[in-house]
Amino acid sequence: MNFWLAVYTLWQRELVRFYRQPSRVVGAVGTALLFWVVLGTGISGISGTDYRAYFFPGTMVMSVMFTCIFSNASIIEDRQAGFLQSVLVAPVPRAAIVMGKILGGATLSTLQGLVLLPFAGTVGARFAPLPAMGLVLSLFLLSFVINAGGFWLAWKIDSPPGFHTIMNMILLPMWMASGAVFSASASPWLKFFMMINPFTYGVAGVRRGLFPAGDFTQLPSPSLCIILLTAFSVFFYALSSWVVEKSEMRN
Amino acid sequence: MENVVEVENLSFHYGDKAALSGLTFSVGRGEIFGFLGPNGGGKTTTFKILSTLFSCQPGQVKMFGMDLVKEKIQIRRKMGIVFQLPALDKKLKVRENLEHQGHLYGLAGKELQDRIDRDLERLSLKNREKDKVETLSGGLQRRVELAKALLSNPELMILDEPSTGLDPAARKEFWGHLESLRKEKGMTVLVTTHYLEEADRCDRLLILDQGKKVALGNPDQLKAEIGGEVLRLRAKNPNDLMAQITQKLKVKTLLVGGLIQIEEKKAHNLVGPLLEAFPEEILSLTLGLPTLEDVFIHKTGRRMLEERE
Repeated sequence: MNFWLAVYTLWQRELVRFYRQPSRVVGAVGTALLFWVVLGTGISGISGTDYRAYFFPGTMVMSVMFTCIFSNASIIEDRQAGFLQSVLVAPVPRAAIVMGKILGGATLSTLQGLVLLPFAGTVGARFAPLPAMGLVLSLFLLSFVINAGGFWLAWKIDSPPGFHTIMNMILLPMWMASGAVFSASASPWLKFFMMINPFTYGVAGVRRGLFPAGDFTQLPSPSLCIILLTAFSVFFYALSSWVVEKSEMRN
Repeated sequence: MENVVEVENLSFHYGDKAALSGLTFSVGRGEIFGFLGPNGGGKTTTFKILSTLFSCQPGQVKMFGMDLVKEKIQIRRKMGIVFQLPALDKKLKVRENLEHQGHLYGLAGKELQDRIDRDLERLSLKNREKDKVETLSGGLQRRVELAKALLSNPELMILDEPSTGLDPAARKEFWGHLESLRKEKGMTVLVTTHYLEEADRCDRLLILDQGKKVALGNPDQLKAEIGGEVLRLRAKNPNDLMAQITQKLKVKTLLVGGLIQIEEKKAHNLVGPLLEAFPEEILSLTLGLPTLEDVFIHKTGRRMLEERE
């Protein structure tokens, strides 16, 4: 069907483009890795526990997050360069264009998170098939949510630096208040924010996948994580498709 | 002749500002039809509506007998579009760009590969197919854009200022390709331009100014309407001289872009009398046949070129 052929081709383009710009590949993973080494080692020294293990899921999600920002910023470049115009006049539904772009970004971000897995062995992570699948699925769904939300924002913003700033402003607090850096808070509003934050469910899914034997009674259940992340994905995908459909009159 | 495009009373607004008002024209199959005019004249808005990037009201535009609003996707299948801004992905190779285009038009597998080979050969790009687009010259990139638009075997090709930024040789070559496509495939071509020599190559031309139709017709016919020849004078005090010329020689004068202009059937007969009567005032004098620029001046009283970027 034309819908999925269009999705496939835009998805593939996203991957090829990204890996032809090595600075982007290194940038996202490198930043996350440095955070992990510095913050993990520093806080381990203060707390006396191995914070590097606690911080590892958050590190993977951070790499995902930075890749998402890069990938979304390319929407703005595409609009300015005219490539997107030629896609918009092709005989394919707008929803296919949005899906291709988001799926491409989500795939890349997931891969950029998974690239860190070899380091997980150094902090006692264990591999078990079912939790590992849960980990990949959580990373992917969270990537999809961030990309779909980012698509919607990128469509409304004209300057790539402006987009980077806004995305950092929104995503960094979400990442911090997700269980990536600290597990819980006594503050009621922060508790509430953590509860409605999609990152919380992504980080929880990754944590369960890395440490299948751990005690995670405090974390949301795996099925709740998957259901909520899926719901967020559908919502932001629909929102982005709607915005693109509606903006036909625009320049 | 069957009409491929029929536009009826088309208007478009950006907020309060009217970009197009009441435009009506039609384009027959196999025509090379040009839109000429200054920036802000309405060419690009017309292009964006016809290429389905902007929406119009139902009933205003019919293409291939279908309504542009109601049957957008079917219409898109039959069109090839070349944008003013480069629409290639520069990080991808030439062939990769074409593959993506094919997929977006529902082509895949052997048929797609065959068509890519066909278009690469037609446009002499075969030896560059594995090169990244960013390594190609501007002229070659334009050729890839054309190959990309041709891939879906369009019946109608729409191009927005396609040769902007090309040197004259590359521009000539690009037009050669367009003309041979029309000849071989009976393709209809719509093109916006602000180059007069390009406009001259069109079968028919719609001249636009401030969103309105200024003139419509064959370039030679439009020029013939002015009739005769055009004299341009550079003078020390153009306004004074104009009054004196009208008084002495009984001819109509226009002041266009600081030059005095006289359109007369046999304007060459005026050269002697003018130089004898005003030897001091006239700094220079040129005599020529009317150009499309003169057609524009004749209709609007202004020059087209000075309003360009």
